Amino acid sequence: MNKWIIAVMGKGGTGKTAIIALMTKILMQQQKKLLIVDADPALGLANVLGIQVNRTLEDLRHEIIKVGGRGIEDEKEELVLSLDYKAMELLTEQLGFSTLIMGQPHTSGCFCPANTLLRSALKPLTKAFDIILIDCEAGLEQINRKVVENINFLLIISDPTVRGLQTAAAIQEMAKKFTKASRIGLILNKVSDPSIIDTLRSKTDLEIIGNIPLDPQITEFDLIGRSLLELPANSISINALTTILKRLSILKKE
Amino acid sequence: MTSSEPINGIAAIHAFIKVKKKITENINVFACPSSINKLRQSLDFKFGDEVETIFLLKEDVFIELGPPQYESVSYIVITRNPEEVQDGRITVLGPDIPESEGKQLNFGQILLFGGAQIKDEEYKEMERAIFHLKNLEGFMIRAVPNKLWSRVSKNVGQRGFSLETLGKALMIMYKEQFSSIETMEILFITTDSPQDFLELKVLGSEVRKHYIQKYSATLKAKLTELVEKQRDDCDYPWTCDECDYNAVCDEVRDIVEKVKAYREKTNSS
Repeated sequence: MNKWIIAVMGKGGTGKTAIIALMTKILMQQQKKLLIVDADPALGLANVLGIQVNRTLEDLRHEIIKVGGRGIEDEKEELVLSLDYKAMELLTEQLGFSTLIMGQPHTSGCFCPANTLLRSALKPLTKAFDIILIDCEAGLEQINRKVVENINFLLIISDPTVRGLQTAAAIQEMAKKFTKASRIGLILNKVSDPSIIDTLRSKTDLEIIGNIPLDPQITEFDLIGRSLLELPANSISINALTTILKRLSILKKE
Repeated sequence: MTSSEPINGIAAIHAFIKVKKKITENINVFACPSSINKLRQSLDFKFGDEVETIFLLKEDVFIELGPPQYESVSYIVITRNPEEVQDGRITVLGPDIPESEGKQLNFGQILLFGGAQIKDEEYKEMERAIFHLKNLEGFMIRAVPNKLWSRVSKNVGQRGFSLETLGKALMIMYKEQFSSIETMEILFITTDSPQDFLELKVLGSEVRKHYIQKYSATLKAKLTELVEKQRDDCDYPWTCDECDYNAVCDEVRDIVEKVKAYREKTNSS
């Protein structure tokens, strides 16, 4: 069975978090093991999915750095033995999908060995999933260092404007340094007039793999703070996203 | 472990079991063989290097024991008098795995060891060996000191995996790894009574007092020293003595001094 690791990027306001929530809703119906990684320091996705965040990846990374920095042998040994338990504690499992929250860094500095340790602790955990969907607000390099290396798909979300396309191109350039994703594509979100797609296509080198119409139901759900997982299965945005996922062969074509 | 030990841990655990036997019927005792070979022969599940370490997600789990939000306790008790320990005995207080499909249960695991040749230095090693029980078919274990979090897969759960199975695997692992162990006995507890767990935790900290005191004293002293030395102007939670970036800071301090000297020179000219 194919294993999909999909990173979704986009600047603030493009509706990236809503799209990930919708993708979660679609993919959790597939009877596959689905992991959602929220790398947005604002924890927006956790809120949209209604997840209670207890402990983040950055909390554990900080613990590793602290123990390493103090250099107390017994404490280091204890951490080595307890690392698998602590990594598993980061996972929130619920019906249909699990989540892993990156959180905000506690200390400045790279601490590459701590990242390597973290990634090795997460390896058996991430291996257990068929699909890993990553909200990459924090930048792809952080995901690469701390969670997983081999991303299959990089999906960039943009609003249907020339300025949006320019930002998407910049995101692509930046992301290319950190991934060998087999496919990088653009999803145009909140499209109210489909006739502008051809015009926008001529203004970007990025592959436009689909567009999602402006969905009043999402606006309505956001307004009252209702989880997007409760959006009707036949809503226009879910239909559009289902078509995109089929095009990418992430979902089976009928 | 020594005559100066404040309590006899083995006797205390036996007394705990005796009291429980009087007040509950939900207690079962299994007698397992003593020899490693016979233990292996009687084990109906694969156990050893040929079994790949697994990660079990909730959807594949038959039962979960001692997850973080539940009670969990784990420790070892040692005696140099092997006869104090009833070799091969497994006592299960509370529901067993086969009757608890789909549930999460509190979990306690107390291992009792007897051996005239057990050395003081082996205590820590024996206590930490539990972290290495990773090759039992359909069983996943995650541990931090004194706490265990385990999952049993649907596959083995439906084939009758029980606490007796886990106990046998533990006996094989410990007896193979530590030749000084002559007798071994196990208490598993899965009751929903916080009082049972409190009693065992108090007992555990009494038993581990000597080791805990030594460890916490060293740790406390070291942490106090670090806090006292920590700089207010640095983000890192340790002192300059422990910091890998010390050399960088020295260089930057040198630059600061040079800039200061340069400014003084240019201002005065």
